Amino acid sequence: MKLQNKKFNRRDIFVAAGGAAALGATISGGKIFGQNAAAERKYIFTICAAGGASVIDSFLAQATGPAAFNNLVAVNGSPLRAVPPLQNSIQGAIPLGNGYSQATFLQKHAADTVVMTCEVSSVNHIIAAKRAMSGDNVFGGRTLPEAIGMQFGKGLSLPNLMLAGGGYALHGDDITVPESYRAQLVSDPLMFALATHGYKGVTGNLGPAEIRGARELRRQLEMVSRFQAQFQGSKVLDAYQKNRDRIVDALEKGDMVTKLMLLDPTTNNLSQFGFQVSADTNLVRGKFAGLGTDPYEQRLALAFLAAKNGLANAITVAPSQSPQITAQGSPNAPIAFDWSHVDHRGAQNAMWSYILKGVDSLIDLLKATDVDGDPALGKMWDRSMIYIATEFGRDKIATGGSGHHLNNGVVMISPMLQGNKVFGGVDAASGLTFGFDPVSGAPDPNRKMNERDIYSAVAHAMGLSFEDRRDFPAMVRKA
Amino acid sequence: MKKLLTIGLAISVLVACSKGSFKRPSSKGKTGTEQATGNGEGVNGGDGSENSGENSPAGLNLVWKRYRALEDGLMKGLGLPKNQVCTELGVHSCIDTIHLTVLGGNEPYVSGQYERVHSPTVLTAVAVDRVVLSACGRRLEMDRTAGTSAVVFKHFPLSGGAPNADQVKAQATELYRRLLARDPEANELQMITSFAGSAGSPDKLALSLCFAIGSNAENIFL
Repeated sequence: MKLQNKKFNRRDIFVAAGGAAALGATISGGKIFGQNAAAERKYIFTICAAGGASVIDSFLAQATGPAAFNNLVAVNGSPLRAVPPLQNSIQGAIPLGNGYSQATFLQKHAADTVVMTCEVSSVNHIIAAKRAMSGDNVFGGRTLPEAIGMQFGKGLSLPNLMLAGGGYALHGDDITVPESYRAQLVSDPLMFALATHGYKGVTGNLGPAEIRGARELRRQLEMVSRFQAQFQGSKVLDAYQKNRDRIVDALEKGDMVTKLMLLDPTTNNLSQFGFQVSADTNLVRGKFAGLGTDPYEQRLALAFLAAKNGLANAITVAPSQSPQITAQGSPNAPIAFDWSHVDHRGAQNAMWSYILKGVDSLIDLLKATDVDGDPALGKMWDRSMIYIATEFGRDKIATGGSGHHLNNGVVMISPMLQGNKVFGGVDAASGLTFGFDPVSGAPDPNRKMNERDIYSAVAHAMGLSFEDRRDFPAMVRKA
Repeated sequence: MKKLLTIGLAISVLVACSKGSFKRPSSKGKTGTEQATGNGEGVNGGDGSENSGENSPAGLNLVWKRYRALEDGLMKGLGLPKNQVCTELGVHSCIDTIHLTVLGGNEPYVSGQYERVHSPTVLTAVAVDRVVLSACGRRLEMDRTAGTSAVVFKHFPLSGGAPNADQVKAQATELYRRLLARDPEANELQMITSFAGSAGSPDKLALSLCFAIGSNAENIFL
């Protein structure tokens, strides 16, 4: 569905005024600075728990009911629960799971972690994934990354980076979103640095001065061509030329090709082609040991580098749909959480550990890194939101395979949230979650939250305003 | 009064028709997109439809020449085999893998990209530059080695003194025919000969011409 008209309000005018101010900014050092752009920066990392991540198999696990666990771990009095890692396998043949404990995650990050119960509106993977990102179009069709990119990513060259696929990667339905705030797909995170420079490492290349001259010649030839005269006014042509002439230059000047270079120099001919590794290589390799082979860790590493180096502020990451099988087994299940159709407990347990271990490492990096390299601006984590998005829940069972289920909850981690809390509850008999009062936070068995509520809660916590936003003061941490 | 109004209306219509005032909207000034958001930092290329003409005035329909068509054009235009068009780090195919997505393809198996992007992305031009520069550079090296049997860069020596204007025009015409399937206009040739004076050595001039013509927007859209 395409939304042709968007109702404008005072908030839109406010955003427009801020955008207009940014128009007057200058290009410097590869970034397009607006006044106080870095000071206003906020980050959202959407982690796609693709396939249906059941929250009652992780932080909302129960000791009673149809999906009961008999070995739950309570962490420091937190209402959030941890399920220990299972000894599990893929079809009895391949050991499954990375052994990472949910309890470890809570011991480190419970203070910033919340569970928000929900009941979504689709059990179709593609549709549900898109609604998880767009809040079922509560903000006129803008996905969360698009909206956060537009609000807090002004001046960034590629504010919305997409390292995921399926419904999570779909553009929102708001046609007024500029192309530069649309999700920019990244196929291969290790090679992505090469996509940010127009000529470095190209065999027989021209030097920077010659390239500038050739590009200027190209521009002049275009301007006098009959093609240009004929198609003057074409939106796609206009966009292509403007984006080419503006953003490519910013990326090259910012030396993103070096800052994002994750390739291993010992196995790639980097120096032969004039490339250098990122100065942060050791930093990310220290946190993501599987960087050479695991797409999920590669994506998380790139997400961190892109945010740290001022390229993006709304980054979406998904695990691979393929198991990373080694002699020791696989840390992740085939088709991610959707392997629950075959082995519900095993898939959920392995995938939650897989997802959370990566998020744990990402949070550590964000906590250790200053915004824009400036200690005065504080740590990146202080301005970050991690939203573990998923399509839907699963059947509330303890054995066998499970189908898709509308009823579920989502996990969010951020210092902008009232952490270490469960918003909503679980019916002991059925295992179904129920909602809560957004103002008081009190559980309300007669209420169900939906995608619009999830989107609104994230938006409220991050300070993103729009006309149809629902407020969740109970969830937002006061400054 | 009624008669006066009718006559006035008729005159207005006659004047409008005689001026031929049914013109396409001007492309200058803000578009509806920029007005809506007030943010011109990124430019929206359309409504996301495959055919960008859906929201464009009549006659402005453009089709994006996606990865395989771009590759085929460079292969045929520059006489290159597929594996010589562009590789990254000497190993990885630019078209089939590294830049597939931004050049209009999709990778469904590992990346889960089930659909192609509808229009060029912000990074498409980066990939175009790399692919065209690589293809042109490869052709240049092959012709340098071939000497008198050069296929594309054969209108002036690639080393030695600067070519004269006629040689530059001949080379430019060769590239226009091969890459854009037409002869250059007089004003385009004039622009190129002006550029030639500041382009440096003959081989850099040749490569610059190939790059400027091959990565021209006219070679990206149909």
